[in-house]
Amino acid sequence: MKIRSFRLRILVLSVVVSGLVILGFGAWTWTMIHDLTGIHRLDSELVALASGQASAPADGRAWRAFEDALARLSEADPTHQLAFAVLSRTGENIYRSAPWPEDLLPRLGHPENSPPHPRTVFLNASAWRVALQHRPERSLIVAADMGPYLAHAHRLQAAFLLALVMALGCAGGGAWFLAWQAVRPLTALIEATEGITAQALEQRIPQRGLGDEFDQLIQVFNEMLERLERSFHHATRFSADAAHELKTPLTILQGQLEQALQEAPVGSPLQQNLGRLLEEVQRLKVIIRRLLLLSLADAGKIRVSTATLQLDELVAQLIEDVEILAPDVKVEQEIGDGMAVEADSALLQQAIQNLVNNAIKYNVEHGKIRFQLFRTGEMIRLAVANTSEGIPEQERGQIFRRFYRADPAHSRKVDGVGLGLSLSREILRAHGGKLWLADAPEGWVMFVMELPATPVGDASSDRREGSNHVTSGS
Amino acid sequence: MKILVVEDEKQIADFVKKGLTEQGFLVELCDHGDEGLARMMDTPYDAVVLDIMLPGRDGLSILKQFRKKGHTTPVILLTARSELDERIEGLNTGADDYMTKPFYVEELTARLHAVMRRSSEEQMSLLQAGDLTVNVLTREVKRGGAPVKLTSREFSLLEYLMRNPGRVYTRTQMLEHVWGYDFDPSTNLVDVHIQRLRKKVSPDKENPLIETIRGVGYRIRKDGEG
Repeated sequence: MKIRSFRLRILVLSVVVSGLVILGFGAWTWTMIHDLTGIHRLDSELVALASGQASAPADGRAWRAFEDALARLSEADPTHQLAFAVLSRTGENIYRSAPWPEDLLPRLGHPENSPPHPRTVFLNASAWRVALQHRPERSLIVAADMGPYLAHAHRLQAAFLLALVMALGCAGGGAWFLAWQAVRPLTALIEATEGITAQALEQRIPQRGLGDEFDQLIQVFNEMLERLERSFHHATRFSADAAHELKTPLTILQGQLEQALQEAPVGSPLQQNLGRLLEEVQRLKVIIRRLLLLSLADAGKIRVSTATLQLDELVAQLIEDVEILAPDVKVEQEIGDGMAVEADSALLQQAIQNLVNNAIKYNVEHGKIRFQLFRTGEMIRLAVANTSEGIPEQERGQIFRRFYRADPAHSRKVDGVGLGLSLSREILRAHGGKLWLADAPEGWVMFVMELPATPVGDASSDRREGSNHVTSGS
Repeated sequence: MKILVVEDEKQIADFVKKGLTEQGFLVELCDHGDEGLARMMDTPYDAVVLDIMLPGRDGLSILKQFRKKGHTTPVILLTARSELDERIEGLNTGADDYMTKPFYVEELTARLHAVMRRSSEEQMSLLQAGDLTVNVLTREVKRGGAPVKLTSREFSLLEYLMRNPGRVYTRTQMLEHVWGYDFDPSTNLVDVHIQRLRKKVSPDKENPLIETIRGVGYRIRKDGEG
């Protein structure tokens, strides 16, 4: 059996161990209970009395004197209620003391068959400890009432059982407390760790000031967080600084190139060269912008300034672009009306353009692209699917990694820096939405993005909601 | 129109001045934050172009101080670092617009025209080239008085080119402006749209309004040329 909770494991383990110890001790004590009642002392007394009297002269006077002596003993100690009897060889009763239990003799059987060691004989209402001494002509029996001894033993047993139950209870409670104590710092550690994300790296776990192993663990953990936070901040600061440092010379470069381009003779080779250089500057700009956005995303600092945006209109425009960019590709669309979202239009447009670009780049010849824009509850979903040679199973998980580019065989015809999908995902996240690679039928690849719809009534339009019109374009 | 450009990077300031002067602006330069604020307070400029990273007082605090004194002169911020945050902060502080470095001068010109129109209600909204007129407010396009119907992308493209007749634009510049900055540059989107535009606004193939600059891009024919 596997116990998943560490606390429960400690609890069970300590209850089992302490329970076993207590039970072992209990069993040993149980056997000692009769010793504890002083029965051995009684036995030796009985034997001494019997053997002493057996050696004494056998006449009525001596027996009466013995009876008196026993009576005095009984009077001195109420737990010693003694009696004695003398039997002939044939088992007839020769003498018996005054307090002699009637039923005792028949229970004894023939005295000669009885062992000499003291034993307990139970009668209807009482129990007697009996010692015998045999002589050739007679047998002498000394008996003591066991009543007080048995009562004592019962009291001991009851007390002992009570103590056993209490000990087991204490052991269980102690084990529970111990387990709780042992696990408590761990629970605190878990809670604190759960609160730590890339956006909240400044959190620390409070020390308990005990200097024990858990405090050491917490300290080591905090030190690790410290290092992580420092290097993380270095990294984001570096990206921001680098972007800034790059942007100033880039602004100069672009400005001067542009100026030179305008001044160069129209259509001259110089102007064409300047044009090409300007395009390269443009490419550099896009890369820097993307890197900066990603570093902001890592630091949880992508802030979007939102306005109501008609997603259906945006998608319709993009579909027009697809028809120009990839005339071979057949576009299918199911675009619902009135798809208003609160979004940063520049950023969201960029995210959708990335998806559309991918759908074109990784399409097959004379393939298809399908756009579906619809509402699900409070969310609006845009699914962009394209016919494809498929993404191998092992690559599906990597597709959102930075600088990852699917299909190396075709990478030459593909332009871009491999930041598109991871950037799109961050943009959606900053909008409170998400982007994922969905399961699609064989021969298709489908990306789905989802973001919160503008609450009804808020939207500038209250057009037919959820009603889809289906058109099929070329 | 008198413009103050507060920018400490001399080479940026130079090409901004050159570009704006070509567009008929009167440009003054300033390379220090405190001096910039003082001049903004003293001189009634038509607009101010303000860099955020400056020696002395930074751009955002200049703007804050300037607005606190009740000045309404339009201000365009230039930002470089963590652009999104500054953009939001800048607009909250009272900037009329922002430009992210690196930027094109003609984009800045367009924004300047826009913010000044916004502030003074001045009608800078009618663009003209040849027999073509473009009203940027009503989005109406007329060729020889007859209305021409354009899609929104065609209109944006035409408006962009018409703002600076004679200026050459590369395809990526047009992509950045009309389609959003991150579109894949290796596309023929611009060419297709230019062809469509030509059919609608200047069917005269001998003397096209939209000229192709071989190996570079396109421009609107400047009156008196070609």
